[in-house]
This record gives sequence, C-alpha cells and structure tokens, in this order.
Amino acid sequence: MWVFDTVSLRFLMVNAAAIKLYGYKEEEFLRMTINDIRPECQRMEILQLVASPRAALNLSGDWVHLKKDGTELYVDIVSHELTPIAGKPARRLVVAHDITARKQAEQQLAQAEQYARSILNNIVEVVFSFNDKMEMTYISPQCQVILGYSPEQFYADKFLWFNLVHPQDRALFEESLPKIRVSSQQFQLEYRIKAVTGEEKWLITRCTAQLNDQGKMVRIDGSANDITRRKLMEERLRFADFSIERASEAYLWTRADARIMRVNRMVCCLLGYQEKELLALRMPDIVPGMDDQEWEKQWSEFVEQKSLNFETVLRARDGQLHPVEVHLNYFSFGQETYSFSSIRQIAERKQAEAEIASFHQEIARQNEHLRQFAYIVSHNLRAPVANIVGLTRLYNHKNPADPMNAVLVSKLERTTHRLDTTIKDLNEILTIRSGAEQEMENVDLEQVFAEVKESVSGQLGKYSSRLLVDFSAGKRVLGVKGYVHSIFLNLITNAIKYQSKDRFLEIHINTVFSNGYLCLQIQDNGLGIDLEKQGTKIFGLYRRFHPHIEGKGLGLHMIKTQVETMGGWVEVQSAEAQGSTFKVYFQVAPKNDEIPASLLN
Amino acid sequence: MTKYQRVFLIDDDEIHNFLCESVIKSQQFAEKVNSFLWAEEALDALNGMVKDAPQDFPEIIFLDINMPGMDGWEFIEEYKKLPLELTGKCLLFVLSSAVDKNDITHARNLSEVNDFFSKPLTTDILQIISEQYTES
Repeated sequence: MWVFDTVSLRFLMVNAAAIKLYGYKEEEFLRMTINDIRPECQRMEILQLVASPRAALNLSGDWVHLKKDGTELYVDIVSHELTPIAGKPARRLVVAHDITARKQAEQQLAQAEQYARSILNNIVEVVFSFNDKMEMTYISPQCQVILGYSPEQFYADKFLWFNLVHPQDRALFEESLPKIRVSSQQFQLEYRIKAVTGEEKWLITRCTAQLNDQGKMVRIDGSANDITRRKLMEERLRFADFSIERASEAYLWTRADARIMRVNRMVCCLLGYQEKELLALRMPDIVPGMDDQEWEKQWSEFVEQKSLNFETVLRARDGQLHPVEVHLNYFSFGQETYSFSSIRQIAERKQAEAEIASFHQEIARQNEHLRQFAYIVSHNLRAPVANIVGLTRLYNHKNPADPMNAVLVSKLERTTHRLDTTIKDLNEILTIRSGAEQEMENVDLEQVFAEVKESVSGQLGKYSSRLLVDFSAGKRVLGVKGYVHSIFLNLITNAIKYQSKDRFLEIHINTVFSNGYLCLQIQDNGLGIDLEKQGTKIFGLYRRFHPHIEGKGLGLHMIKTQVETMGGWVEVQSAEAQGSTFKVYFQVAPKNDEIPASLLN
Repeated sequence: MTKYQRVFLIDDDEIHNFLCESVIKSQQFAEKVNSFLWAEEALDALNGMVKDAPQDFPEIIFLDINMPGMDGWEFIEEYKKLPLELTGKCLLFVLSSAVDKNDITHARNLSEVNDFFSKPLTTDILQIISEQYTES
C-alpha cells in the first residue's frame, strides 16, 4: 500500500508490506514515482490513466509491476482518493494485491492446455470422452481425417459415433459397455465403422472409465485408431494360413540348419505327428538315411538350384515309410535362408507303377508263352502232320496189296497217336499256365511223397530202398496238391530213368528253409546233364538230353510251369556222370497251421 | 535223276527217317542212306570218316533242327570244324518241320547250309536238288 502525489506521481508514503513486496527501502520509494515500478511500455498508459477523471474508488485491475531486482510482479490495483488538504497536491491511496502466483498458475494452465492441444492435434488417434449418459463430450480433430466427420458434427449428434458402428459390431459394444462402466481397467475393442464416404474402416478403441468415490462412472476417456490396413493384412495372412492348412498337399518349411520351422495339417496327417512335435524335429529325423553331412550337401544344392523336384521317402512317427514327391523351393527372407517344400504322397502312384510293371511282366510272360506255343505248333505239331502228308503220298493206291502199304498204315497210326498225345500235353500245360483252375492249399510234402511212392511202386520196384527221405526241416508248403504230386512223380521217375549204369541208384530227398521259402531238394547220382551246354534249355518244352532213353521232353518243362504257377521256382545243379540235384522252392504255409488244432480251441 | 553215293539223314523222328529213306529209294536218289536219331551220333560217324574213310563222306546231309541233345544249329557249329575239302563237296540241307520264319531265315543265312526245306521230304525236293546242285 502506498500514497502518491497524483501530480508529481511521487510516492508520499509506503507501508512495510510494499517495501517487502517490491524490495525497495522506504527512503528509496520516497525518492521514486509510480512510473519507476512499471515497465517502460506501461508508462504512457499510466500517465493517461492518472490524467483521466476517475471515481473516488477506482478498481484499476491487473497490472504488471517491476520489483527492484527487475522481476515482474502481477498485481491487482485498487486506488482510493484521499480527502484533499488545502494547499497540498491531490493524493491517492493505492492498494496493490500480489496476484503473481495466480497469474503464473493461469499461464501455466494455458500453456499446458496448448501443449495438450498440440499433442492431441498431432497424434493420429482420435481421442474422445463420453459422459455418464454416453454422450460425446469431447472428440479430437483427427476424427475428420479418419471418418470425415468434424468434431462439431459429433457434438451436435451426441450418439453419431455409435450409429456409425457396423451393425454387426454393435453387439460388441452392448456386451462390453456394462463391464467398462464399472471398472477402472482399460478395455480394448476392435470394430468396423462407416466413414462419411461410406467406406468401412476398422478401428481399435482403448478406453477407461473414470469412476467417482461411489464407484459410479462419470466419464469414459479413450482413443480410437484406424487399423484398417493392419486388418486387411491380417485378413490376407489369415486367408493364406487358411488355404495352407486346408491344402491337400503337405507343406513344410525348414531353416538352413535343417530345423523344421513350420508345417501344415497335411504334414501332420501324413507323418502322424502333432505339429508341436514336428517343430521340435529336424529333417534327418524324418528322412531315412539323412544325416547332417548329407543335409549340408543337399542344402548347398538347394542354394544353387533354387528349386528342385525329386522323389524321396519320409518316415512317419510309427516308423512307416511313405514315398513322396517333393517340390522344393529355396529362398531368403530377411537375414535368413529357408526351404519351402510341397510334398505329395505317391504311394498310390508307386503302387500303380508297380502294378503296371507287374502287368508288363505278366504280358511279357504271356508273350513268351505264346512264342513258345508258336514254336511248339511249328515243330511238334507240324512234325507229325508232315509225316502224315509224306506217308500218305507213299501209299500205293494202284496196288492196295503192295506190302509197303501195310507198313505205311502202321506208321500212320503211330504218327497220329503221337499227334494226339502232343495235343493233350499242350492242353495240360496251357491249363496249368492259365492257373485259374487250381486253388492254393496247404500241402504236406511228406504225405504227397508217400502217395507218389505208392502209385509208382511197380516202376520203383527194387529202387524203393534207394530213396533216402528226410522232411525234418519242414514239410508244409502252400501249393496245389496235384502239381506237387506231379513234381515228385516226374523227378523220381527221371532219376530212375536216367540212372547211371556204373553205380547203384541213390535218391536223396530232403527239405531246407531258404529266405522264407521251403526248398525241396531231390538229388540223384545218375547220368547228370552238361549244364554248360544244355543249361538254357533244360526246362524248355520237348527238350530231351539223353540218347537211347525214351522220353518226350515234357517232364521238366511241366515241373517249371507248375512251380511257377504256385509262386515258386526251380533250380538244377548237375554234372555229367555225377548226378543231378533239383531244388524246388515252395511258398511256406502260414505259420498258425503248425499249431495243433487242439490248442487253437 | 542224279544218283548220289551216300546220303545222311539226321532227325530224331524215326518215322520221318523211314519216310525219307522210302522216297530216296523209290527215286533211286542215292546208293546208301544212313539215318541218325541223334546228331551226336551223326557227328561221330562223320569224324570217323574224316579219319578212316574220307571217300565215304556223304554227298548230301538232310538235317533236322529241333532235336534232343545236340540240335541242328549245334551240329552245324561242329560241322564247320570238319575239313573243308570234305564238307566243301557235301550239300547240307536243313529239313525241318518248322514253318517259323526266324528258323528258315536263320538257316538260309548260314553259309554251310545250301537250302532249307520244309518237311516232308518229297520227290519234288529231290528233283530240285538234282537239277540245281549237280555239276553238269
């Protein structure tokens, strides 16, 4: 508080509070004018003010004064005219109220507000507030950018925001709002909203309710961000993932170090692993015969070729091997390199190929049979026919009594008989080859042998004691009993027929297991066959090897045909003048047949 | 018709040998006919003649192809090894029941084989041989 001379503007009196506030000593004040405590810019203004007519009590308002140390001082000034004293200049009592603190606070607030506004204007999110009635009370200007609506439009229609939300996503709000209202936690919602252009946008909103002391919501503050691009990317990724998962081919990604980094559902189906299990494996775990060294070798090939097609085999969880066709692509992504393989199961194709191969074999076999048949027709059927033609030409028609005619007729008889036999033989062989008439059954070799021995006992005669038989290694085979009978018969009678005159006949018959087959061995010490000379033809049709011994050359061919029809094969070892060993390989009868019937019950 | 000194018949078919002998005799085609059921035996006989009686070496051989033991082709392989001064004067004819083209072609391609005839042996065949192969 002070009193000043309204003419000279000199301080006439100051109180202690003024001295303290302004920092001048009393005597300093009294040498000063009120201009001295004001900044330069105010001096004209104060002069005009003082010169103007004023009410006795003047509420002058807020002013900025200067302290002695030059700092600004915000004051609220009230002046009061003192009762004039005659002869003295007019005086005014001034009360200055320090409002610096209030002013500063107001300035700070304004700054803060400007600051906040600047931030709000510069963040891409829309910031908003709703009141307890869910009316929009504030929205930042970004709403214009994202939605094309101005804040004023939102203030005018307080529910515009909710009305713009995609109808299908409103339920999300209806569901969430009751929870948001009673919690001070942040909630997050993703939803679609329609912009002013009609375009649909994806927004993510994060919001928190402000609760009062009673826990009642007074406000919801939050932000909304345009995530349309992210959503589209996510959608594309999900679409790609969806397609990959549902593809009928198996897709597998690996890293350069052979670790499996991703698989689709078909890989899991194919190999019987869970996805999690596969992601812990490396390629050597599922590729038989693959090791780290091999992988490195292959990887460098991938790097070089970029894309490769090959067939390989994969090992499933249960150890089963699956033949597959692989289309492999090598690529680098970021800093790392990867392989992406599309894998297709080719078991069916492989099987089909195997079937085709077996058809081919069968066709080749049939062709060979046809060729043989043509050969037989050409030689074995043609020969007796040629004889008949020749003999009938020699017949003396002019003189039926010619003694030559009787000889010719007798020869004709023999020839026609031979023709008939040949045709019967051929028929029998073709029947066996067609393989259709005989069912495979369990055959007891020992039993069949006993029957054969009985049926040829007359022919065997004194030789029966020369048969040395041992079926201890096994006697049950899968075959056709009639064929087995015929095989025994042919081999035994051959052994007798082609025995050596130089030694007593001995026939050893035994069995031995060999690679899942039962091998019947029939060994004689007879004439033997020079396999070097005759090897390729020994099982051919109408092949005979021993002069002076009756034979059609049908037996061994028949054996070969019969054994092959039963799924086995026949081999021979022989040396001239030492003897022959025939090895007949039979399929083995299923094991459970060995179990006595009593135990099976 | 030319009369040859000696003819060899090599065929495991006894009846056909009889047939051949009868035709040859009836046409007075040869003085002597030797029949062999086994090619091995025929070869032995030829070898014996090379050694002891080259003058008896046959002028004509009728050879069957499909025989037990040594067949016609193998016989020809062995026949090649005999002295050329004897085989050069001998006519070798394949006489087979075959109507198989491969057999016929194969036989005709062998330089040792003079010709291939299909069974049965007929007077016509003897006529052809007599006309084509006899030095006039």
